[in-house]
Amino acid sequence: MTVRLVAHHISLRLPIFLQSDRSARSWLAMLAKAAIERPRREFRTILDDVHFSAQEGDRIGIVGRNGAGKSTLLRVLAGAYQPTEGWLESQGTRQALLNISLGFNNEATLKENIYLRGTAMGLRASQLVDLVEPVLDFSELHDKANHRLKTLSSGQRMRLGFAIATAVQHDIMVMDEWIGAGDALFISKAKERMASRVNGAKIVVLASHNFQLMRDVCTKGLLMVGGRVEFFGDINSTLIEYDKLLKCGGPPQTAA
Amino acid sequence: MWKDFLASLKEPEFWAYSCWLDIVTKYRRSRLGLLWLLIPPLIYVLGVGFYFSKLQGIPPLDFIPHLGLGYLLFRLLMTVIVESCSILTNNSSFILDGHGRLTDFVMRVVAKGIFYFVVAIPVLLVALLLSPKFQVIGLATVLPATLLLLINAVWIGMAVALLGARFPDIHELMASVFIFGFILTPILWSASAAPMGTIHGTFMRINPLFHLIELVRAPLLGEPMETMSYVYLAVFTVAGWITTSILYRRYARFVPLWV
Repeated sequence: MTVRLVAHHISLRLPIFLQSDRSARSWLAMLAKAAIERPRREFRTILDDVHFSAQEGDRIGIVGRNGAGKSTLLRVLAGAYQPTEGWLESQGTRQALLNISLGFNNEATLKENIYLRGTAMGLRASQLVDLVEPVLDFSELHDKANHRLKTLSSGQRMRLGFAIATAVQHDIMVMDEWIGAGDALFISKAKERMASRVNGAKIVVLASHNFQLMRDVCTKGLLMVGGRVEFFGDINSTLIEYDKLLKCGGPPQTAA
Repeated sequence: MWKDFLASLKEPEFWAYSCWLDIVTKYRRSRLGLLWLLIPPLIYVLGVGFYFSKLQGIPPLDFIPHLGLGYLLFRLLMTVIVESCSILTNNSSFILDGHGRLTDFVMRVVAKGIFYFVVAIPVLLVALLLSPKFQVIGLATVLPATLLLLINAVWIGMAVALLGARFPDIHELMASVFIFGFILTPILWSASAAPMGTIHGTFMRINPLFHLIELVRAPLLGEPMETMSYVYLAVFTVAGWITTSILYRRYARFVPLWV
């Protein structure tokens, strides 16, 4: 079976809730208004005619400034959001690693949380047992296995989340930038793991602001501006385009 | 939706495990631990049951199983339906990561409700065995009747979960409805106090909780069951499932946008 991931002219309009902007004369009036005002519901076009295709072996890096629609596009690719127009063609098993702290239970132990995340990723009971050891190994949290999750620092949590999310190999991986809170040693380890996972996965889509990471991992690049695909090509020219955009300040980022 | 429910039942790992984890971690640090699952039913069924039977001048052994069954079944329905209202919002991180089988989340609440109910069954058994009203023959219908009750709880849960994801008001509404529902359903009182044709009798018969609970309870205690209840439940179950499957087909894909 060939693995494919194709976005066919995808547009997405999302409802957003706005509080109206009338200025209050005093802080008291402001508090009172906050209590009675109803939010308005408006539709915004977040993605506009996004079209690209990924074949086996493609590792696509999505770049763009904050609010350009990167995360939203990843959610569409992960299958969470259904496009308003256009459609997504996806063949192969798919795993999204968008939210590193997804579905943790703070009162449960690390081990129990590994099971929990494993089941959420659709693993069967028999596969779960084999998941615990490698995850604890990789996250270097063996001595904490039976501690409650809320005793972990945010960096340790990130390590755990990353270890679980990358413990199983899938055909298509959709990833948001998550290597933020780890210490330097872990980051290099995570990069290594990712490089190996990425080599196993047939298609990878990754959003990141880290140029070096992109150059190391990706083969193609996709530059998003205001919900549109501004540039789609090999990774180096994409990064050059993005760099140009950053230098000249870029057009306004919020989609109309 | 049918496909999703079947898949949820075939792959119970996620919802069963997450529900179990919710329960054990909730009581882990308390001294009495999981005994806390048993203490509230004991207090309610025996304590309130005894006190209320005295207030109403009914022999306690007659009244306690009536209240016990009524209360525990009511609590089962209430847990499932009220918690379903916010279940999709509470699990938004899973949904936004592409876990699109929404039936899993409803099954999580259903499993929790069933678990609490099952733990309380010993209390009910004692109350029933001590009661002169207990009809052994009623045990024959208990399982199918409870199953029908659950089938209805599931569709209601799924429907309010979808509505609740779009309108947070649903949760508030359901919480209020159930407070009234507790009085409207013959739990602390007997159905014979609300005969057909009276205003309160009509209200009671509109209330689906009444029919669902009576279906399980009446045969066990030898209480009369109205023919109308069977008709009501048949229509309610079929119409409910059809409505919910239409809702699911039409709106499930919008849920990630709402949560």
